[in-house]
Amino acid sequence: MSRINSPAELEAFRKDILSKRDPNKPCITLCSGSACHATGSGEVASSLESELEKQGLSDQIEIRKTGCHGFCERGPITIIHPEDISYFQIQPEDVPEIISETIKGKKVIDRLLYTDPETTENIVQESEIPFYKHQERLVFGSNGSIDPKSIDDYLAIGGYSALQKALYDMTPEGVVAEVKKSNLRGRGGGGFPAGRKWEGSRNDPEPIKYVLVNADEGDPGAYMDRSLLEGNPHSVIEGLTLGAYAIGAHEGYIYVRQEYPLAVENVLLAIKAAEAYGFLGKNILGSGFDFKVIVHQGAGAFVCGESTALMTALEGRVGEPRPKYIRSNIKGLWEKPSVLNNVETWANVPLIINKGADWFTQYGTEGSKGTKIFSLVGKIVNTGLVEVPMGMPLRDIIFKIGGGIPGGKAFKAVQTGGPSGGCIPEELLDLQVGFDELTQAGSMMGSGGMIVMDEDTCMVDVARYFIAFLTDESCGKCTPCREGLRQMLKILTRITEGKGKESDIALLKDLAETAKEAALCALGKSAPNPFLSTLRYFEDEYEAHIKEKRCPALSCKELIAYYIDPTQCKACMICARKCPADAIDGGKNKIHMVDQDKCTKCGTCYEVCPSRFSAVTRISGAPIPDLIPEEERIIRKKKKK
Amino acid sequence: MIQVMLEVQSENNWLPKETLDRISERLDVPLARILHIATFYKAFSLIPKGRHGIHICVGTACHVRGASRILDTVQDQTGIKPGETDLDLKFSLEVVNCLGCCALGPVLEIDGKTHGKMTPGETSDVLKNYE
Repeated sequence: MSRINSPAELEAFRKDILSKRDPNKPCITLCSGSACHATGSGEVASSLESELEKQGLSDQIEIRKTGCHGFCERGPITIIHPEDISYFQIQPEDVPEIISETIKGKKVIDRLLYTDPETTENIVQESEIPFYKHQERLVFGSNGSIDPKSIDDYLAIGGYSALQKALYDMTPEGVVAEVKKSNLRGRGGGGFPAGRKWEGSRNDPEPIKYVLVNADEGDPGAYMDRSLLEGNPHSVIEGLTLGAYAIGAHEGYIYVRQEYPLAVENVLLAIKAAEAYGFLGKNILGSGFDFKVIVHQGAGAFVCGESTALMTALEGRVGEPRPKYIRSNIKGLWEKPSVLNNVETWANVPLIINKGADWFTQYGTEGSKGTKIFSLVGKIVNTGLVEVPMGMPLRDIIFKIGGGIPGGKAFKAVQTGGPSGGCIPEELLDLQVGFDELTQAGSMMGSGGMIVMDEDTCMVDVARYFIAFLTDESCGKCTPCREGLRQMLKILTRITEGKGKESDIALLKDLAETAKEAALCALGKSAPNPFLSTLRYFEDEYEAHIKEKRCPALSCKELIAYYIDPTQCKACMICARKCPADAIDGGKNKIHMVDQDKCTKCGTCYEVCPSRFSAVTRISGAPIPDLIPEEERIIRKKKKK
Repeated sequence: MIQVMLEVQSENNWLPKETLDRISERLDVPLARILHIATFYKAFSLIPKGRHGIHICVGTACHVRGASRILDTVQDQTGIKPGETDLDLKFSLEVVNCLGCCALGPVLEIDGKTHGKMTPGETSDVLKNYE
């Protein structure tokens, strides 16, 4: 393919691609994102290919391996076009049936459809499923329909038209003004208005400038940036190029975690393809504008998601943050003006340029415009990536889209904003999601992780978990973070082990305030959030741990014991066989008992005990009942008369 | 330089001293700076790794679904702690913060193969399959 040198050539080329595509040709799209891959979409793909070949249909039916659809709970996901039939949890064994029944026979296979748990009706179309119905998939929508490895697929859905519009019909100032007007705020954590950041760099007299993509998505439980880079890398590259044009940069970097091999692969392919077509490199689309993109792989350090640490890492040094007396959009990478935005922010830019700021601002609330992708994970029925307009109440996201809590358990809290965020309790569930609303509630938007917790989750343990994570990831440069977090971790661990003192909470508060005020970067400043927010809403749990040595959620290992209720135990031997520590004594017709000295508290017995018996229980804050004498342990079955 | 080191790491599974000396020589960077980087980032290892790499996800989603119990089981079975390798170089154990398969949590990954929705019992069974 030769380079495209003018808008006319681009349009002609796009028409050419579209004319070769027959919308009525059967096409099977298969999700090949990382989560579906782990559930076996690779095997399904090869089975599809070989089956089509066997039946001699290879040239009549197209197979398209797309990016993540978001509904990871039900992967691997397949959609059959043009009828839009969506099948979930496909296994290689299902493939022959799909081809003979659905493709050839045009019949829907009921057992592979999604069943609505409420109405128990089968749903054929993906868009009708409750999980998708309440979403607004502006940024994420194309993910499921295009092959990320094919630039033609991106062009077919109107890709790079925003770049063409900007280069030919808009001035760089016009692009900045449009983004500013859209009030697009950074999707990576802080929520800083992107337009203002760009304007600062644009106005700086320094001739060399950089644009950077932050794809160092280190928040545990958040993977929307990875899915975007894997599933639609061109949208990020187009956004980045628009940003470069707007501020006058000619070089850009994508900092991506080395732990995301598929994202790295797809981005590198996309850059190569874009260069070949003339969307990157010298004289882009014949406009005289030059821009090149370099991919830098991170080597695993959470702190590198912080803007200045990321820049020092790009410079080939240890990723430690530096003080921000001068913002990085004035003095950033190699002391030059650098605009750093995260993947999702950049992916929003082409939409804004194409459809205008007025279109964008119709979504969202006063302070937060557009949509946001959340990764809805934890104790939730429909785990996956969801994109909703800003301002949607948390309750709708968790219950309407997420389907609520599995196993009939009660909702306890939702943790947003990654390790630096906070926990939001049930009474605030009607809170509208937005940057300012979440900050007011003591949490933050962060990159959009949303971890749902039920009654079995101990909030003190959650705080301990996040502080442990941050202690491990602290770069060690400033004292409040390096030493303060370590001490907080010690105290919190002590509390979860039942050795807490009454003065501990005051001490923790003191350490938290110090880190908040005096730490150098956002990691340290926000590190106490998980502790402060759990204390704010769940102080009673802290008190139970400290004063009563009791874990209300029955989760802290040191504070609970497993006990088999002799009146419930039917001596079925399931738990005794499954126990990895051989801590259960019992036999056929002999009531089982837990040997507390041997028990490792792994909880296996609790899980395997059949629910009709529910003999295994957890005890916290109360003594374990005495074991019953040997002779009473024999169960005598009544003889049938 | 980080990119060079990453390549050596993925090729060898660890960074031998001689290689670091050579990187220092060829790129004209002091060894101290290379070691600073090698010890700062998680991806690098200065000791040899076992034949099978076990990664246990302890990300938040897996944590609330009971990842610590999986970790305890693996530690009991292999006798090694995160970051360690056993004496006969069979297993290396690492904890990671998110494998991005939260729908499958808790997740255990051995040699790149993902085992989802694990329980302590299943974990022992899986480990027995490796030699």
